Amino acid sequence: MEVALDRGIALPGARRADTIPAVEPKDPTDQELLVRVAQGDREAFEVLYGRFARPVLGLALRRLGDRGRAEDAVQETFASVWRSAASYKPERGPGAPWLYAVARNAISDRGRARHEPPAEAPDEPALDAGPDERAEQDWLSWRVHRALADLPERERSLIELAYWSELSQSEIAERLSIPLGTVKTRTRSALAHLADALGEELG
Amino acid sequence: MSPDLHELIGEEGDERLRRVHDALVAAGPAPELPLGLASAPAPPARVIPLRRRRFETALAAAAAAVAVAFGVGYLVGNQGTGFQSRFPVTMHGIGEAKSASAKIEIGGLDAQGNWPLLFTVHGLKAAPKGGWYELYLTQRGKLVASCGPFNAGQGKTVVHMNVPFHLNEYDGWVVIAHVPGQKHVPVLLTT
Repeated sequence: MEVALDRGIALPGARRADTIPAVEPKDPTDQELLVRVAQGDREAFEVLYGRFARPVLGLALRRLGDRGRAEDAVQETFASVWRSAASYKPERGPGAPWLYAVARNAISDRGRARHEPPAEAPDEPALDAGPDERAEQDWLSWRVHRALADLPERERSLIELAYWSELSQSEIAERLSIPLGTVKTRTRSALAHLADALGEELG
Repeated sequence: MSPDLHELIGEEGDERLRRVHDALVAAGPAPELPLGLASAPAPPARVIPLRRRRFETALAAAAAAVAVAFGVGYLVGNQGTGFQSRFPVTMHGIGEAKSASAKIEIGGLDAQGNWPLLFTVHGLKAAPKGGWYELYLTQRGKLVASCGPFNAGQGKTVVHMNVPFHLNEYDGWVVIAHVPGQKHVPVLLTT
């Protein structure tokens, strides 16, 4: 495309071979953000933090059961992400599993760091989930929290109110001052978006 | 207490939505971030990997005296700008800016992780009204990191820039022109 310029100045025409699209995706993927973090992009680091801080804290709380250590694990996770993002290879897969592995390592380190005497062996078999089952549940929770972080605010707040505030649909409508029909439509839409995001994780 | 799925999505059951419902119930709420974690922590310092250079080290030691002399000469030649160049990178014009040329002098990394750049361009006309030029680092033919916008005048233009990027992770520099109303940006100079 040839552009007429003021003051009689002619910049080169945009011949295909000499041009590069300047458009950046508005909502970069986790993969793209990690690549940018590896290049020292602070802004990308902050976006990544916004997406993953709560899932990391959730995972750390489940694994460590202690808020203070869980918060330390969040700090350590993101310090590791910053330091080692260059080791992430986009061709090997999406960013969320890589971040999950980094978080798990940081959380394990925090777990090992505690100086408590080992618990005595229980007399009766535990009814809790086994390690495999727990790992699977941890991963699914991670994915659910990550997917929630991507929902538009108006859908995310509805899901949080519906599932974790013990409010009925009518009470949510009243609290948000929106019609009951809108609450139902948005909730269904939010669940559908989550289903799209979780894809194969749902089995 | 988990919500009633039928109340949420009606009677006609959608298997996918039922699974999402079960996953939400199992996952529980994501914890709220405490105030101390509300924003991203300051990234810790990162070491920039340098190329391995046994031979270069030996060569550097042998050439130290020459370098001092060269440094003095360079500063004189640099017209007293005070800019201490470590690596020069040359750029050449392409397309209709074929006659333009540029040089990027890369200074020493400062304590905060910034590379000072002294960018000198010749033969680039003033940008069109509302437009500007921009120096970019590229990776595999894509614009990746902006080193700064600038305008040019007749003859020589000298611009000081500063970038916090790991320069050895990029494969080149280009100068592009932002022209109002134009979707694509023409590349005017490249390394």
